[in-house]
Amino acid sequence: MGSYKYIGKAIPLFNGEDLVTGRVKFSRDLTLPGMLHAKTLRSPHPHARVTKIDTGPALDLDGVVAVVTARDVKGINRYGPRIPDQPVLVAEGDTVKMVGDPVAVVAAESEETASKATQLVQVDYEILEPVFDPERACSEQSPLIHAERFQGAYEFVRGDVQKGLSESYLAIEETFYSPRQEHAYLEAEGGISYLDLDGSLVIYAGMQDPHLVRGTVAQTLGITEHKVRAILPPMGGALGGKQSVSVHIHIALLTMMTKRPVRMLWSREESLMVHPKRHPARLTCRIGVGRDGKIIAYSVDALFDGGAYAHQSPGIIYWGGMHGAGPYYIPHLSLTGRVVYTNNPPSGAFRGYGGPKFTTALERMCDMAARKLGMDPVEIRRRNALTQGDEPGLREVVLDSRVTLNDTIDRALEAAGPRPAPPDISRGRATKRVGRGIACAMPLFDVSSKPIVGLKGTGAIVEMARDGSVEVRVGVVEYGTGITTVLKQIVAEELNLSVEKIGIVFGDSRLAPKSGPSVGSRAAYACGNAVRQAAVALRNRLVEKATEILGVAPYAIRIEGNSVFVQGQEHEALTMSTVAERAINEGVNLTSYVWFEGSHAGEGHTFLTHVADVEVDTETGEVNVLQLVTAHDAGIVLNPLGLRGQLLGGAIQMLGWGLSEDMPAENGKFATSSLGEYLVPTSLDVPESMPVVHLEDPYPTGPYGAKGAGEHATYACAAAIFNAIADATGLDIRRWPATPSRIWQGLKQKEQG
Amino acid sequence: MEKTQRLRFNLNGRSVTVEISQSMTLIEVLRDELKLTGTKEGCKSGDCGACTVLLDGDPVNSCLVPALKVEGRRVETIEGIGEPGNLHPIQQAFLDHGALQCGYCTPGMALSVKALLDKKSRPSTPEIREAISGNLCRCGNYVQIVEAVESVSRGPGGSEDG
Repeated sequence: MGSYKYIGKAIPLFNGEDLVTGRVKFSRDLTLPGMLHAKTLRSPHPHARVTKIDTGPALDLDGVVAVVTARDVKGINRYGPRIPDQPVLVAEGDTVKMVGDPVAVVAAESEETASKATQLVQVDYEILEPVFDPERACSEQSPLIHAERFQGAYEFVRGDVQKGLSESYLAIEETFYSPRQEHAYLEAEGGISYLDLDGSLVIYAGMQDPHLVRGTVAQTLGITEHKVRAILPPMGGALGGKQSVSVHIHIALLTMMTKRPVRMLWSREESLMVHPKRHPARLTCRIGVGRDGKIIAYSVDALFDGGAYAHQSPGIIYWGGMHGAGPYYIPHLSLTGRVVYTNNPPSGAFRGYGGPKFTTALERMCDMAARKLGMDPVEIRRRNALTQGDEPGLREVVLDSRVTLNDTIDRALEAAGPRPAPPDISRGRATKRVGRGIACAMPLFDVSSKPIVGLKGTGAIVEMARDGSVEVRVGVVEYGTGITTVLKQIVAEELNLSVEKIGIVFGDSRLAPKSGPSVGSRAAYACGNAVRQAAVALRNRLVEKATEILGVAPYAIRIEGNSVFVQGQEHEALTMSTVAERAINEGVNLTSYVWFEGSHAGEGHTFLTHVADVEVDTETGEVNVLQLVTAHDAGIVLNPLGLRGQLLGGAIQMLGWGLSEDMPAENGKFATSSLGEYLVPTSLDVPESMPVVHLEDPYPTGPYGAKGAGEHATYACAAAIFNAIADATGLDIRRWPATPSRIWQGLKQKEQG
Repeated sequence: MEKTQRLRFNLNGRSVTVEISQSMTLIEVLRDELKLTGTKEGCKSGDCGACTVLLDGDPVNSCLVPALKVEGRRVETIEGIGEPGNLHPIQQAFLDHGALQCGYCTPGMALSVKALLDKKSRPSTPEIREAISGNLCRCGNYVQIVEAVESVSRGPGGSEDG
């Protein structure tokens, strides 16, 4: 490990001053002179054929400028990042497949008029039989919603699970049900579009992949990609939920029709209704263990409810399935998962991308097995931990760096300290029980060695201007993960330049190269490597020019700040701007562009352990998480402030998933239409103690030895809490969120035996 | 809506007059009429706290406050407490402690904190948690926010009693 000037330092978000002072303009803060306001007419039915659309009455309303239907979609009226199954607007004769499907969009002089106009559009529907139950949707007898029944599948089989189970000392079968989770990012979807002076169509809106949006808008509108420019303003959260197209095509369409700027802001209710959420799922698992706690066989059969459109489902079931065997060596293994179409609201990407469900199931199964064996749950994990050279339970990962699972277990337990003390029962009745749970994971991250959402590789540009300042251009986006700050640190490190001298352009499809989406915990690794290589190449060109000017050997040159020094001399020999000026005048390319691809197959991997201490009130069913420890090996830490934020934030989101957040749909509709009814963790729900331990085992191919981390605290956090609840009360959580009423009922049933 | 009403109030230490319609809420006046977009809109139903401003020193969800109710009163928004290069100590502490990620909840959160510290310079940890319990932070930065507030109220490394 070298000593670095910028890498590894707790540098705050580079645009932090603008954020804390409210000066940053998010999508929803943008306005343009002469802009129109847009609203969407949505289907009230989960499954129906549109027989007639009459826009006449809406068009007659004073202040309405355009009412647009499928007829006005000049390109392909189907899109989707993985499967083009979603219409821009549902056409006459076509079917709506979910409540909230868009049928018409209106642009008007005021938001109020636009809303009123949507109500005046007359749509006739012929009701079709809906399918809400994912199990039923799998059956051949169930009506098909799309040409295909399934959105995606995963299968990995090794050995013979049946045989393994029969040879096991103990075999357990369990079924788990996990809930739909809403992102509840504080900035709901919104954006603004306009025609630029050169005729380009410009779209400012939240998104996780501007190049994907550009391509989708061009294809659906039937225009060439270079005429579309997608720009991401600072974004008030995304968490995977803004990987999908939201307002983009609709505002683009309206701008093309009206030649005026158009703004569309989804209300919170609208956002809750239509954006894809974390899949509700059923996971049926079997585990067979030896008397010594060794896992002999393990199988999962998972069914995810994909809802009406596929969005990222094919990728999610795959990514999830890859986490199915966790950090353990299991000789007989069968991991299968499917995502089925239903007429429920759609499911899609949410931080962790299917991984948390598979991890939670496995970590619960390990715990249940340990308890039945009378074995310490810590011990069963240690005994099954992968060792280097093992083939993990997935094709994509090679254990090419040290397996640090046991280190994360040690460090997590050390940080957790003594087990929670039982409550004082000297006074009154003892209704509170305490317990400790542990859960582990081997979270993966994309290393840019295979296509991700249709793109293989990661581009980055680092360019020096004549004045010696630097501009970094990358396609990955920022929504609070701190990636842009980290990329600046990398450039500062390589060019020995203060962070203030470095500007960064990101999330602009016209200015930034393709870097792929900000997903899969990939940005720091993939874009970090690309930016580092680009910065090194730029530095080499500058050193070469300085060498030529000064007539000294390259090793005698030192760049610092805005100056070039010659070894042994105290005074600046040249300013950086002089070198840059000369280089540019003399034909040296100071626009350093790098295309990075991972050197090893598959995915990168990390190890992680959580320890949770809980107090359960057996009288009310309430769970109070007293402590939640995270020990994670993210390789060399690039920015401890940012990394800690990622790990704490991920854990707190999954505390919500485990204990309070649920978004059930009935007859294809959500009962929940506001954030008041959807229980996101508040400051009062956060454990009093949340230690985070960074293990820094350098990753051979990571920038400075860094691994991915962004999603990693989402995998095993809920499992640790459930295992703690089981430790405290003996109650096994099979269906979550583990709300007070579920726990209370579970305990009551247990009592009645 | 026709703007038939004249509203006068003290905004960030200055008197402002604005023509509004009867049904407008305070957030609409701030964002749409006065173009002060530092006050963020998260839900328009008082559930998230992103639009928190101070009304006579108390934190309120500006989406729930009828604009006419602030006639003659004192309103403080994020634009009034600090600016780039001249941050309020709370804002500086948020930055230094990594108390923000996406930053969308930050203006409202910072104002809830300011209301607390203006009334009580050394609040306990539970009091800090209580004071920000109406402000959702989906990025999950509560731990760092509490640390930031404690660093302001107790000084770096200070303890609750110290």
